Amino acid sequence: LIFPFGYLVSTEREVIFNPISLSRAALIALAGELASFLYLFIAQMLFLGSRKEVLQPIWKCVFVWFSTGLVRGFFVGAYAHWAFGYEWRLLQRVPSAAAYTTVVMALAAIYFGTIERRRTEFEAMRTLDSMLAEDERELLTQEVENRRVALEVLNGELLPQVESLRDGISDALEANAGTDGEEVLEDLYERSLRISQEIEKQRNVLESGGNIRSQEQKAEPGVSYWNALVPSILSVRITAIFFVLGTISGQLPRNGLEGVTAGLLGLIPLIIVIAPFSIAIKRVKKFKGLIFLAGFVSVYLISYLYNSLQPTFGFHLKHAYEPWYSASKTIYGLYFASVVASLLVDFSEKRKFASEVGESRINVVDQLTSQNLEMEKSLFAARFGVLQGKISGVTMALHLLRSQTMGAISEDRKMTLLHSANQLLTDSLIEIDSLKIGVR
Amino acid sequence: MMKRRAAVSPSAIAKLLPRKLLSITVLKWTLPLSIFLAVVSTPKSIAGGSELFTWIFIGATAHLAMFPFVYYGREKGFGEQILLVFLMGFVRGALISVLAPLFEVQDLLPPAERIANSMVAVFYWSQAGAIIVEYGVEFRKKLRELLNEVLEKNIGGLPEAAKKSSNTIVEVIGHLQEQIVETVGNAPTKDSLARASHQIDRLINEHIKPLSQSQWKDGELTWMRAGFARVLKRTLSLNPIPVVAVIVLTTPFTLVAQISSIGILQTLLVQVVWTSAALLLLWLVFRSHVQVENYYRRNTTFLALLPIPYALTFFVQLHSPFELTQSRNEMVRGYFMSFITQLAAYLVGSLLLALRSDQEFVFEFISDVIKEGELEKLLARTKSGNLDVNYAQYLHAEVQSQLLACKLLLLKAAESDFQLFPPEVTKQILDRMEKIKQPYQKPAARIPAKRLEELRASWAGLADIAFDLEQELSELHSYSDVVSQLIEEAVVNSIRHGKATSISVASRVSNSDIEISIVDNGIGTIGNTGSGLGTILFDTFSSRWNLEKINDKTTLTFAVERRAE
Repeated sequence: LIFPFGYLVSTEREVIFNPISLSRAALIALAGELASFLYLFIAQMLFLGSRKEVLQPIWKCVFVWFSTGLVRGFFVGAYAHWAFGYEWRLLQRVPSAAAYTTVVMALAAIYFGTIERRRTEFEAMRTLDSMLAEDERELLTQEVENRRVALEVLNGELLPQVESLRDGISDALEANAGTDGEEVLEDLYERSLRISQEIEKQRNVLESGGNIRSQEQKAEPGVSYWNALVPSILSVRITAIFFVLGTISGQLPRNGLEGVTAGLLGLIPLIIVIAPFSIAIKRVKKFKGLIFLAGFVSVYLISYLYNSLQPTFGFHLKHAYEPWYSASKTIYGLYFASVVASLLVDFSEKRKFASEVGESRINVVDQLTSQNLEMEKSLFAARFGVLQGKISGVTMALHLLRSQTMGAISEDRKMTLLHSANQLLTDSLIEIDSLKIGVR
Repeated sequence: MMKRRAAVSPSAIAKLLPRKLLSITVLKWTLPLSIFLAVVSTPKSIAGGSELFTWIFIGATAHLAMFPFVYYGREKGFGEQILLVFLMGFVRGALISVLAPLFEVQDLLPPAERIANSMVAVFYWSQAGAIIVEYGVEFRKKLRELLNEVLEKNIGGLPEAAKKSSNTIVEVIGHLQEQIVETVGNAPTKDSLARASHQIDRLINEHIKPLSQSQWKDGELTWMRAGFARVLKRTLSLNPIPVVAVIVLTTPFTLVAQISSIGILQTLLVQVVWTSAALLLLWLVFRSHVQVENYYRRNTTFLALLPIPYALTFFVQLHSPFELTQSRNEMVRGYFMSFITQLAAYLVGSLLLALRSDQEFVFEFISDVIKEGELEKLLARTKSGNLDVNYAQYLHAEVQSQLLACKLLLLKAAESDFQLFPPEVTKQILDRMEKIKQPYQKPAARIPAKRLEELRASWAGLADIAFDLEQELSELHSYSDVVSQLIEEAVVNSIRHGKATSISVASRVSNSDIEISIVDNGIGTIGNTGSGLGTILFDTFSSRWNLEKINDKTTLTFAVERRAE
């Protein structure tokens, strides 16, 4: 994307330096480009070989960019001299090539570095999301299994025990009607009923299924740089940066400061034209393609018009550009800026969306994990823990109260036993209450 | 019906194109061709030996200038490779144009035409070279992988099944596998598997390659023991000629070549007339439903009638209002060359289709034999103590461990909104996952004590793993995932890279952190695997870690902070 503009400027320069055909000027400029390609390839391997793994010091980058520019400028001069016998003109060729190459490569590094960073983060979130989705599937399967086991425990172990306890209390109530213990036994009966109700409630929750909804949303599929060849936004700011850069590098060696001033003034009508299109493209959902087309045509026309009218504004440039050519270069700059801006916005939005999806998935996985853990702990408590022991304790106490051998014990002792049983049942209620088999 | 489409549909192009375009092998192989073209078709004239050497130098330099593109792009996607191939052609053409005046020789074409010409030429020869590489090197590589898999999984029955196949190539593979099994036995040990891997190479070279009678490296498996005529007949009997695909692929080259010799208007006229006539002929020959047994007859009919479109086009061009730039003799010669080229392109296209069908069939066949259930059986055998076939189990465990490590790192990075690592590290993690190319499976045990139990079982036979952990590490806590993963990373590293055979893991729990020590009898390699994933993992999740070697023991100690739960 960078190559054509630099090449054009370099070719234009050669036409000014020597009265030669466009074809020969293009060939001379091409020599510089080819030499700089080769140099850049070697330099990046030697000085920035680990750039994909480690952040590189800025001085190394600047050195490579600047020296590439030097090579570019030098070989244009060298080729012009060696192949066709023209003057070296290194003072005119090298500084402008070095300055342009350094600035353009720095801009490319900043913009494409940011774009690549966003893209990497988006890919990371997408990959993470697919792994978390696998975790989620596994946890949901585990949850279903836990529910099944929990229902088995409730139906097969806890409920029969509590029913048997209730029957025991009913029998004890009948046997102790009118005694001091009747009140405590009624209390016991009430509590056993509440235990039954609590267990029923847990069972209903279990049977009604899970309460954590699976993550339906998925991060968007991966994207490539090719998608941005058709840009989706127009950027005023980036277009302005590229326009300024293009104007300085094109006009300075050609028409000096007057050329630069004339060129930069052209930015004002350009921005006035681009801004409304840029806003419109961001706001509307339909006919974006048409707005784009209208935007590009308008920019071409305004640029053409401005270049044609330059003499009326007092600029009489020695090597003025043809209006059609200048307008074409502006369109190229606008397109390039739009591609960069679209990539930046696209990847940022996709990354943001992927982050939201990922965050939500992380929450679901965390919830499922802790819920499954609670269920497993509760299942353990229900099956082997204190709960069954306590209910068994109460059942045993009632059994003792009814048994012949205990017939001889004093009323005080019976009352103590009943109070103890009551306490055990109270504890059981608390245990059941804290059970999270059917997590609500 | 599907097969008939191969003749008339441009979608057959996909089958004619290689999977990737750039390779250093192709660049090397095409150097003589590139120099030859630079000498024969580039200069206006060559006056003497000095100029000849100059053109050889220019051709070689221009060709070698394409190396950076191949070096950079050989692992890239197909789309990007297409772009790079055109850029390679651009650079080659540009360099020829630039170097010619420098050495005071004259190029026949102006720079723009030279560049366009070179772009098209490089695209075609890269494609042809890539196809040869794919059918040669790639096919052998795939075949070796499959046979290795067959051996590692100790799958019997392939030779018998293969020998019953009507496909010659499958039959040969069946025999090959039989020979290998005979060589290494039915229950190969780890060492014999390694030996077998080398033997596969040797057997392919000694037993399969000599059977072939053509220049197509291993791709020729299809027509081994056969002469040229038999191969040709078989090729034309298997598929309809991919006429439309060949026309689409050769059109750009034809356009570039014709425009530079007869101009745009005559080129358009010739192309329109010839293409219409060829397509009409194609429709006439293949218009009705074609049975497989009729392919040969239809294909030969089409080839026999192919001179008609040429004759028609010649007649039209001769009587067109455009001024002819060539003599009648030159025209006849040009048409004849074009006919021969087109005929060759159809035959090569058909051959490629036949080869691809054969290769796809072979890989499907062998993949069917290696059923998914086999892996489960293998794992079951491993658990029952059969130590000779642990390979897959180990690899599976290691790959899943790496995926889990990557997941934890990505989670941590996402938690910090990617501020924790520079983008290069995130990219490194993603690259690692990309290289693994295995689907992430259910999470391993999260509790450290349970994870160690799993590790002990997974690596049984290769290393003894003992552990003595505090009670807290037998429960699930917020740090459990991280501690489990760091232990696994250390243990797997000790075995795979440190060659340890005895490992012991101990823990110390304090109010502020959990400290784990892993002592092994290996050579100590954490963070020395080249990938850096282990180092990133320990740097990210542990508050401190240290690797030291005392006498013949290597000790890795790391601490993980306890957070409020």
